[in-house]
Amino acid sequence: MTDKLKKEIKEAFEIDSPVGKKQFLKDFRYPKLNKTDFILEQIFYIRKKTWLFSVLIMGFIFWFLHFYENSSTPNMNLWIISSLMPFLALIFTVELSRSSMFKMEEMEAGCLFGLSQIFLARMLIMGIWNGILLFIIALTANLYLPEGMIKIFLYLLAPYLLVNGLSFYFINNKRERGEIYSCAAIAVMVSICGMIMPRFLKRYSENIGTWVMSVVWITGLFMVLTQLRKMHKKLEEDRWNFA
Amino acid sequence: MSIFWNLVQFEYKKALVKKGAILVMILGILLAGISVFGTIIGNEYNQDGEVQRSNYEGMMLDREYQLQLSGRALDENLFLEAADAYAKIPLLNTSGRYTDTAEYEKYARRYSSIYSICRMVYNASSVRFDVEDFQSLSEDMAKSFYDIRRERMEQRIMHTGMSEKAKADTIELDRQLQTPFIFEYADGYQRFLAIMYTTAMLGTGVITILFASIFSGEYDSGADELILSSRHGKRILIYAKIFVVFSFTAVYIAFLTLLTYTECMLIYGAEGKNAAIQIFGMSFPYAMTVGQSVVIYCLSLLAACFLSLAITVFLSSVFKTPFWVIVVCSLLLIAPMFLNISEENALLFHINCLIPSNMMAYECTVNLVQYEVFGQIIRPYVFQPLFALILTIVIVPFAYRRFQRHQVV
Amino acid sequence: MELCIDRVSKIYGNKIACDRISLSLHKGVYGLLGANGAGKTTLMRMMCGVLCPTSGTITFDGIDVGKEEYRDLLGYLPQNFGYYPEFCAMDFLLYMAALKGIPKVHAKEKASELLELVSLKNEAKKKIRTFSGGMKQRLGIAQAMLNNPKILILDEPTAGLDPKERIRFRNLISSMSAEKIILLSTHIVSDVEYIADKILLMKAGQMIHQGTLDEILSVIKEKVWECRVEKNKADELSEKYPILNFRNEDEDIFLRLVSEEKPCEGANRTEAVLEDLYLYYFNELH
Repeated sequence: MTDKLKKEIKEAFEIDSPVGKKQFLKDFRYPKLNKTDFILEQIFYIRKKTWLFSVLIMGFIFWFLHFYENSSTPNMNLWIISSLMPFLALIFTVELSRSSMFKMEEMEAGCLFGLSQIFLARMLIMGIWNGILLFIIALTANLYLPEGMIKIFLYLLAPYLLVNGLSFYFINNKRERGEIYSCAAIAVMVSICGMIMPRFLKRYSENIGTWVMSVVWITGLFMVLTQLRKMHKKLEEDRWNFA
Repeated sequence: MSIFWNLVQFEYKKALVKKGAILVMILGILLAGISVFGTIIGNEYNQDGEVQRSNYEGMMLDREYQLQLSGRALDENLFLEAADAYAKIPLLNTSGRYTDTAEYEKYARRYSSIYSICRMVYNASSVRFDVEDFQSLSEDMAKSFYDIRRERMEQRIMHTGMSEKAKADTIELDRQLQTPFIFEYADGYQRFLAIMYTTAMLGTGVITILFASIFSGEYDSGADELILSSRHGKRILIYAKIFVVFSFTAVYIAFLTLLTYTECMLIYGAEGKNAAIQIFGMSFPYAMTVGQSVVIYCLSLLAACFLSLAITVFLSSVFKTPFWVIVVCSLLLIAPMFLNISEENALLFHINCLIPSNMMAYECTVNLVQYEVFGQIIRPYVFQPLFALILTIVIVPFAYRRFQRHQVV
Repeated sequence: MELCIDRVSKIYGNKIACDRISLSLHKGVYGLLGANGAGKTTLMRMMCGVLCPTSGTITFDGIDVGKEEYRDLLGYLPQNFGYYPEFCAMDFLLYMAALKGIPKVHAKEKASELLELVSLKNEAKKKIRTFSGGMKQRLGIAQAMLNNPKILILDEPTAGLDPKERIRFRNLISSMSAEKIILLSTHIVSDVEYIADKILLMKAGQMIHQGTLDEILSVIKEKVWECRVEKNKADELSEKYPILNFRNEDEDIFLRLVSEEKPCEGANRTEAVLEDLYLYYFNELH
């Protein structure tokens, strides 16, 4: 059968007009997303400015490490980088609590992939992204700074975890709309403390500083784990209860 | 008038009578309070790693030694006496720090501040001056301390980006300093000046957090409609808000300053008020006592805080939520700390020193780089606070108008 | 007492939110009816001075809307007003009283009186964040009344209230309507039907009709029909006439529609109500 013949048959053949097309389309059950697809789709719903600000913070740290002279105070440059981590944590917290910020909780709770699933998806995506950023920052810092990788990781993670832990605590325990404002305040206070801490620690700051960071790290980790669990549990309950 | 004070009361209540606000204020006070103790916690160790004494005891010992030297002229006799003491430290045989040796403890420690002062002058980027050099300090070198100082000062001044007129003026100013300087123990004031920078940063950070929502909070909560449609919402209320911000700033910063000052004087001692500021830094060309410079610095610091808060208030009237106000203001507070501008570019250096967070540093207040306005040379400790206050007065009306003309869309 | 709105327009880029609206309001209750996006809130905000008109003027007895004297005579309840969560009801009223220039001593008295009027006396010391929607609205009306305003502007005051709260609210407004200009915007027709002396109809930024209930109903007087027809006929009539009500009954479809002449056999003419007019104007077919 030649192409010409095929084409002519097509043109000559008159198709019956569809019957009940509207009803069929109305009743048609489209296949739903599976969990993996849902999580992958959520990547595209993370706001562009979240990615942008994260990258900007990382870029600033690279600039600082490359161009800033090493301070005479021990660990000073590491403290400075460490004091920028609260802002990275703030970005994480803000993205995670987007549903409550924009009062979308109720609507999202009524969907197939409910609020808790959305929350977990965001946490996974932002957790991986921030993990990658922290790793890259740590590797870069290791190239420019005399401190070892373990110490660098400790100094980077400690304020990050502390800010996240405190922010989640506020989000879990506050009913008011100003919770995200409190998170920003926490990030700023921790950041300022990180900037000024090394200035008044004397020559033994190397040990004291590490001890402080270790305590902060443990506290932060504990708070993050407990508060995240509480947050996830709360999302599955009815929050709108004035009793 | 009573309406105004009534509204002031409400604005204070809105901003401060909240658990979070009280927590932040107390945290700021606590951190400022304990920061003074930072240098005296922990211990001193000897060569064998054993605890010799606590840092507090070490500080008291240094204080005693320096008080013994107080009142003596910083001349060649004192320098050579100190050098002789340092010469007893067996550096070649010491594997660790020379300060951990028994000889340092016994002979040289009492002259450590003299060594630091000498190092300020003798050490340069081209000529290193360390303990070994101090140990072999010659009489000629000791005698030419002030000549070397003058030479270094003139070199540094000539390398700045100031005009020739300003350079000449600064050199002349420096030449008028009465030498030899008299050594005084003034650690209390030195600690105060060092710690106040971080305290002021902390205080400004706390106040920024408390008042970021002064205008933006109204937009965010939706109360702007009610306020702007009320009788006094477009005038007296805005005055009240601005009054609250600046009155609280003045009180809080004054409180932190007083707290830090009292702690420093109690812990480190209140001596040295009348000492020349050159004992803190040999590159200060001003004939000023420590006491005078502390007063000037505190006023400059307050002006810098006012400017910082003026920016916060303005941004609060612009942004629709306090979140962005806090983030931007804290970045404006922290980021300038990373800037390292050379004195060779006078304009950039001045701009750097006029940024509120940098203005809070003592070194910026008494820096040797002068300001020039229409041919007039103005000292940095005069220009900077004046500039901050003038800029504050300029910025605040913009915030006023911004909120007053806010359109509820 | 005259509130004069003279050719007021508000334009955002190429969107006209209000288009040359001219009104003259005197004592009484005015109901501002319109669909979502009609421009009611925009108009009200301009009348309160919180939004500047692109053109036109708003004056009350010669006093311009931008003046403090105007705001002194104004009481405003916005659609979604904000509050300070840490304030209790009394604190909130005292704060608003201060903003309205009422001395503290009188403010306390007035606040207590108003809390009693809106049945919130027992909740005076409770934090606003614990209030239900209805309670917040009542608090809102209380604050609007603090300064005994001559002009009271209420933007969708009954939205989100249950029927009992709505009726209570309507009665409250009616009791306050003497010697005031009350402008009440809503798209709940029954609210306006019961209490408004005059009705203003707004559509797409323009005032399309104004007058008493009878005056504005005259547009569709004797033009409202009811009938029961088969499904096919119902579809045909839907294409041709504005439908006010479409209801499935056992075998037939019940229709209520607007038509100049009798639309079909068995159709009965019926009395027009305000809701019919609302649907007639704001129906997409029209």
